[in-house]
Amino acid sequence: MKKMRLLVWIMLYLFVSACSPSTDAAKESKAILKKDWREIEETTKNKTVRMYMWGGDTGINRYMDDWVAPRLKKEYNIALKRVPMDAPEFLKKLSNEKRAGKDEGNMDIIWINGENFKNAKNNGLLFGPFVNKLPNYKKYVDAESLDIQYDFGTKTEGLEAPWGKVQFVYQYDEEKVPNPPQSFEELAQWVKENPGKFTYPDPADFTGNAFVRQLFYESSGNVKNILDNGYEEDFAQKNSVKMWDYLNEIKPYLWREGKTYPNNLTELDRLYSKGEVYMTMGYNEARAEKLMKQSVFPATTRSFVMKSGSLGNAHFLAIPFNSPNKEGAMTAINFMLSPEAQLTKLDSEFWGENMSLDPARLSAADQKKLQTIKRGESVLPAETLKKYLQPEIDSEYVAWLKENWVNEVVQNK
Amino acid sequence: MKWFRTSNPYVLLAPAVLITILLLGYGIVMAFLESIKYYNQPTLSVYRELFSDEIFITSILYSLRIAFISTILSILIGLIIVRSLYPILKDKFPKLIAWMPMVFPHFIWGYMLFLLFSQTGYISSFLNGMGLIKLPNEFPVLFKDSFGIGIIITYVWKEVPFVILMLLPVYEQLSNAQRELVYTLGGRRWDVFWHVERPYVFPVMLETFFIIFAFVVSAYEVPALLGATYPKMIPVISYEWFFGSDWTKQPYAFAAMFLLTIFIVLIVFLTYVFTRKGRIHLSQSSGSFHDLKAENSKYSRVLFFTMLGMTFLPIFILVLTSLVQRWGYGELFPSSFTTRGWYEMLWHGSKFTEAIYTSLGISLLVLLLNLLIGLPAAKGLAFHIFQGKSVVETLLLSPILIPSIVIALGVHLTFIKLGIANHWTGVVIVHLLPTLPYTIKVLRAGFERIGKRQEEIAVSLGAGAWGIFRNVYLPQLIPSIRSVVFLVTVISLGQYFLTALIGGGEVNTMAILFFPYFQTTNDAVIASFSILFAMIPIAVWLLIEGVLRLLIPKQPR
Repeated sequence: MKKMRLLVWIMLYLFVSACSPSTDAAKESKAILKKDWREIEETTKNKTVRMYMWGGDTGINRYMDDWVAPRLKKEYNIALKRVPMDAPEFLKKLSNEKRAGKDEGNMDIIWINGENFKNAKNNGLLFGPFVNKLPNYKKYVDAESLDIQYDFGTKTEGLEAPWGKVQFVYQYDEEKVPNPPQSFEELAQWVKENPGKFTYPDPADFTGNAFVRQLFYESSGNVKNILDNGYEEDFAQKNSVKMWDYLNEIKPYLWREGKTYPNNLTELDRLYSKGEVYMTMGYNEARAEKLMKQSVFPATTRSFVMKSGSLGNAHFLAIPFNSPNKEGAMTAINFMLSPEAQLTKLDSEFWGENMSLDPARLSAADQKKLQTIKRGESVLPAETLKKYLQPEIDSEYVAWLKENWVNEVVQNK
Repeated sequence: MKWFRTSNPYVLLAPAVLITILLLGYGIVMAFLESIKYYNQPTLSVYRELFSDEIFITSILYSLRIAFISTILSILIGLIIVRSLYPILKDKFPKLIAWMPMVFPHFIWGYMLFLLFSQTGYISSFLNGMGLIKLPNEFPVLFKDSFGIGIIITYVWKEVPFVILMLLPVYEQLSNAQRELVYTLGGRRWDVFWHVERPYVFPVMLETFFIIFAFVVSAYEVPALLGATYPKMIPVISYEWFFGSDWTKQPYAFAAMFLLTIFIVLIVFLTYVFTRKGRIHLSQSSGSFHDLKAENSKYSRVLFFTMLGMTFLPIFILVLTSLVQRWGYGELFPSSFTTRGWYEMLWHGSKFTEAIYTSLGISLLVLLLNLLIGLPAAKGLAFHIFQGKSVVETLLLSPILIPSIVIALGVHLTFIKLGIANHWTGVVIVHLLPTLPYTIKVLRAGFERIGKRQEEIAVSLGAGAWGIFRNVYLPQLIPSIRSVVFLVTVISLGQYFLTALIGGGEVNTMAILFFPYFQTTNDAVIASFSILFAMIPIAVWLLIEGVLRLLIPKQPR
């Protein structure tokens, strides 16, 4: 019994004693940001950098493990450890660590954008601003462009460095859809003529929300209206009438008569791969390439964008406030922003995703290289994509659309 | 070992109770505080809002309905199988077959059934190939339907083996003499069930009912995978609040799950209070093993082969899927094969080996701790009646009645402060939560069957504590320990969320390495992983089986 009592006391002691927070952390962060770049690179030798990122794509994982990691090891002697974890999960971990006053965590780089960035920023979970320290950022990134200054309406303020850019496109099977629609109007027409062959994911899903969001742009006349207005519930309500009408109008002609929707993009892709529906959609204009190579998608898959516009956004790399190796994280991020790393990423062999760098700032040799990279037949020409590119709006709209869709569309019988 | 022999139930139960309180207590308090937003101004507005929200109410009723139907069906089917098949299932391999579906995590099982039964699934495709149906949508909508048929099918298919695991030990040691007595007195089969079996079976069935019910009503993976857009089950809604982009919604997740927790724990507590007297200890068995015989052998053989089919059909489909590259709808044979799935998985090389070792190490440690804490606690519950027993029983069962997101926050904060977050020790300790209740449950039933009398005789003959444990209890507890080994490894291996949060990426188990791939569209990759994942608990099971053979003097036969 005595031993037991002792144990209880020890436990209590640990509880209490561990609560004292340290104040050196903030100072230390400032000191790191004062160092010049050479010093930062110097201090990273022989250390580990842990990168937390979504791990559901074999191509992306292979790019990190087989291409980035060995080069970081060779050139900087940094051991890069990729930890597959979803952003909401690692942010939960991070915010708990913040609450518990843990100044030395174990995450060095996190891959985020949109709402996740907003949450991380608003809760003080990020280190920085650090991007202006990175030589490759200063040299190759167009820091003035809106899609890098704003991440879903939230100012990035140097807390995250752009890693890549993607654009929203629709995929279709050329064999079954000889003339893909060019506008939402034509899409509605097509859906009615081909009942059961189209659907979109639940807007609680990232992709489903983007689909609805584009409709919202059209419903409110112009994306500029939304951007100028910022987030306002009244505005959203007033300008969404057309959108809900549209969605309700096509509902009976959707897959399963619109009684249920795919829960996420994976499910929609599966329906498409089995031929249950004839179209799918998603961010990353080149996403179909890999899936075609794996025979998941039919080889006759092509893509299109709506003439009314296609959403594009950037995704970013950031450093947690309690990263134990901030210098290493910066060095690794700088490397991932190098033209070499970005051009390799563009290759469909690995990832097939657009660079975050400004092509005009690349060296002549790299520009040539860029032109020779063939992204694949299902990818639209760069000019077309650029022509219809539209920015993202405040991430509050994402939540608003998600919630109201249930009331306006699902429950509307 | 003095500890083990002591007759003070409080001492026997102390480690288990302490661990449970330590892990749960702070978590629940934190969850409640979060749900009333204590950091701003404490308010019950979240609860008020939930109760006036039509979607939430619909969702609660929907969840309760699905949980109730799945649980009742699982228990009835499990009971029928055990009653008719226990002589067959007594053997190691038939038992392993009956338990097999348990080695697959729930969402993998759901995914397999989806491959089989969706409108473009294998069965529909086969029927089309045979010319029996023309279009996929002529096949009935079983999955992602608004009634939740797909969810129910998955749960029943998956929980029946668990019911078998819980009920089998009871039937294995039921007295045949009593049965014959009932027959001699002119009783029928129903009388036998009612008078001989029910008193022993009923308490176990009741507990099994609560365990399954609590699990189904609060588990996220299956409804997230197979559910319809509307209505959604409560756990799906709560997870969206919890992990969603709008962090101000978190209190709603805590509130919803907190309500659910209170509801279940209260019912379980009341049940314990009311059934305390009804719980009968099987005295040292007057029946013996070898005169067990099935009541109806032809019928039981059919049943056994049905069970065999139900176990192996999805597994067969999984193996096939892992090798298929393209298999068009309506084609009787796949048009091309691939080893890509296996390649993708094994390509991980060193990471992969590390994950296997980590998983094995963690599950063995968890198992060891489970036995060390569980054996005395189970003995204490089995042989003693004491003040506050119902409270202790409820407390010890509660970790599996409480959804993990409720306690995750509190546990994580505690572990960070104790310095065991981001470390394997933290992971091992947190894995005790979902495993210890099962261990205690199963071992307690084991002790109750053995009874106290043998120990008393052994003591009077001068046996020491270790001797008693090794010669009296251990050999007779083997069936229970076998179940514990199986359950604990399966549960520990399948833990994703708690491992990710507490392990924080430092502890890379199989679940951590491979769960992300469930977001790929490539079926071959998912299927290959699922197979490998399921092989680990089987390997552990065989390993322990070997150790047990060496350790135990001889099985009494």
